[in-house]
Amino acid sequence: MDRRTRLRVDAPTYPVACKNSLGTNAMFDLLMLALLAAAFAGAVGYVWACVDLTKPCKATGDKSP
Amino acid sequence: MTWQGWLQIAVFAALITAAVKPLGGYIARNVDAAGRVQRALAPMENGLYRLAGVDPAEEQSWVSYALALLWFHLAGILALYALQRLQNLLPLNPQQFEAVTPDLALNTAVSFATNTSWQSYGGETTMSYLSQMAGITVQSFLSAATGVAVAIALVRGFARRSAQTIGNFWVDVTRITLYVLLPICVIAGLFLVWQGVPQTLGAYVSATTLEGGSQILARGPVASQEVIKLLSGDGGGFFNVNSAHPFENPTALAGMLEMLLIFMIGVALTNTFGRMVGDQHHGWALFAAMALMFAAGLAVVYASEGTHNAALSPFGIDQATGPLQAGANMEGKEVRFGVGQSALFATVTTTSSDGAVNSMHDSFKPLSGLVMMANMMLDEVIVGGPGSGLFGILLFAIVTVFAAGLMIGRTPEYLGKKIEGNEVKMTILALLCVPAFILGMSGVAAVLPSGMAGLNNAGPHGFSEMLYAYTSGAATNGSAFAGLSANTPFYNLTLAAAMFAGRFIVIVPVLCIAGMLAAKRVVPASAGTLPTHGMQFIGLLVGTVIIVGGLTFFPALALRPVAEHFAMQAGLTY
Repeated sequence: MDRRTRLRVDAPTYPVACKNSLGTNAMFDLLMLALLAAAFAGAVGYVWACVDLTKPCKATGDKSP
Repeated sequence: MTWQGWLQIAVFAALITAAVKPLGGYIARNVDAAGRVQRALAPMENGLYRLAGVDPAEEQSWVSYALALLWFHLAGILALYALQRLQNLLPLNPQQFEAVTPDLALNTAVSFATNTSWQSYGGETTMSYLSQMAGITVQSFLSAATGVAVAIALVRGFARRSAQTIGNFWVDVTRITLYVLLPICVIAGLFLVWQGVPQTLGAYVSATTLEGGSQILARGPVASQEVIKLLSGDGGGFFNVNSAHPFENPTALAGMLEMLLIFMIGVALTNTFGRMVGDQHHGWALFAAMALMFAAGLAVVYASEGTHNAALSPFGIDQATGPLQAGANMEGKEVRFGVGQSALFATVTTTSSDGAVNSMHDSFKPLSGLVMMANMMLDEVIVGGPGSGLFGILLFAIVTVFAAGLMIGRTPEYLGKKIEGNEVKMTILALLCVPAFILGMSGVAAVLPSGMAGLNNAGPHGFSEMLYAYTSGAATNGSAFAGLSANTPFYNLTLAAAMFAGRFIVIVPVLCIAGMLAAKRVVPASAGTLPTHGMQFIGLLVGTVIIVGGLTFFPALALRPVAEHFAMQAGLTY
C-alpha cells in the first residue's frame, strides 16, 4: 500500500488518542489475562454462591422453592 | 420544538408498536418451538450442533446453563483480545494499524462480549478490518443472542411446571442468531447500503477538498457492522463518532431505521413473553409500562433541547427555528437530523442498552443529561437490550407483586408461580449490585488522581462525565458522554470491571430465578391474586421502577446534572 495514503492515528480529523501509557510488553498481556482469569473465577464462584443462598433453610424447615 | 420533530416521534412510535406482535410471534415460534423458518433451516442448524458436539435434545439446569454461558463468553473475550493484540500480524489490515495496547484490548474485549460496546478508541484509527469483522461484529451477534437466551430461559421458568431444566444454552444461542438476528441484519444491512453506508474491504481513500487540501476518508465493512451494532443493543460504531458519522448514518431515513433496529427485539420480546406464558395481555401491560417511562423521558429531553440555550444567548447566536436552520439547542447535533431526531435517538439509545449516538450527549442541556443517565440507571428496563430489557423489567415485576403481597398479607403469586423468599433474594441481588458498582466506582474515581485526570470539565459537569461512564459501563449501555479521556489504564481496567460485573452479576441471579420458578407448580388464580393486566399493575410497576431504581441514584444526580442545571440558570457554565 502506498504509505502516503495511510491514516495517521493522530490525524486532526479523528481526535481520539489511541495510544496510552501501557507498552506492548508481554508482561502486560499476562497481567491482563490474570485479571480476566480472576474475574471469571469470581463469576463462577458467584454461581455457586447463588446456589448456596437459595438452599432450603434447615433452621425453619422452609423447603422453598 | 417543531411539528416535524413531533411527526418523527409519532411515526417512530407507530412503527415500533406495529412491530411488537409480528416479531414477538416470530421469535416465539422459531426460538422455543418448531416454526416454519426453523423447520426449513433445520439441516443447517443440526449440522452446527454436530460440528460443536452438542446434543440439542439435552436440557440444562440453571447452573449448567449459567456455566455454559460464562465459558462461552470467556472464550469470546479471549478470542477478541487475541485478535486485537495480533492484528498487526494478521490479514485485512490495509491501514497497517499496530496491535491494540493490552489494557485497551481487554477493555474492548470485555465491552463487546458483555453487549456494552463502550469504546475507548476510535475504530477507524485503531482497529483492522479483521478486528472489526471477526472480532467486534461477531461478539455483537453473540452477546445479543446471549441476552435473548437468558430472557427466554426466564420465560420458560414462568411457563414450565415442576421442571428441573430451563432449556439448552447452545440451542438457544444458535437459534436466536440464525433465525432472528441474521435475517433482520441482511435485510436492514442492504437498506443501509442503499442509503449510502459503505461496505468494502478496500483501503481508506484520499480526497481533495473544495479548498484544495487533501483529506483521508476512512471506510470499510461498515454496513455489516452497523446493522448488528443497532439490532444487538450493542452500539459499538465502526467510526469514532458513531451514528453521527455520515458513513454510519447518512440520512434521516437511515436514522429512523437505526432507531427502529435498536428497539425492535426489546419491545417484541414482551409479546414473546406473553405468548410463551399464555397471557398476551400481560405482555402488552409490560410494553405499556415501558412506553410510559419512555414517553416521559422523551418529553423532557425534547422540551429541553427544543428550546433556546440561555447560555448561548449573550453571544448573539440566532437560535430561532426557521426554514434555513433547525434552531434551538443545536450544539453537538448534526444538521441532517436536527433537534427532533437527535432528542429521539438520545432517548432511544439510553433507554435501550444500545449506546449508539447520533449527537454528542455532552452538549445536551443538563436536564437532558439527567434523563439520559436516569434511563440507564433504571437497570435497562425501558425496552433495554435484546433480552436484558425483558428480564430487567421482570425483576421489577417480581418486586412489584412481592410488595403488593406484603400490603395484603399473603404470599404473592406472579403468573401462577408463588414468589417466595429465595426469588426475592435473587431479585434484590440483581437489582442492587449494579447501583453499588456504579456509585462505588464513580466514588473511587472521584477521589483518585488517575480518575480526576481524565476529566475535561470542572464542577458538576466533570462529575457527570465520570458518573455517566460508570453508569454506561455497568448498565451495559456503552454510550459516552464525551469529554472524558477514557483511554488510560485506570479507566480501561475499572470500566472493564464495571462492564463484566454489570452483565454477569445480573444474569446469574436471573437464571437462578428461572430455575427456581420452573421447579414450582402453578397455583390457580383466586380473589386475592393481583391482576397483572390493567392500569393498576402498570402503575405499580412504573412506581416500583422509579422508587427502587431511580431513588437509588437521586443523591448522585442531585450533585451532578441537577446542580449543573441550576448553575446554568444562574449563568454559570463548566
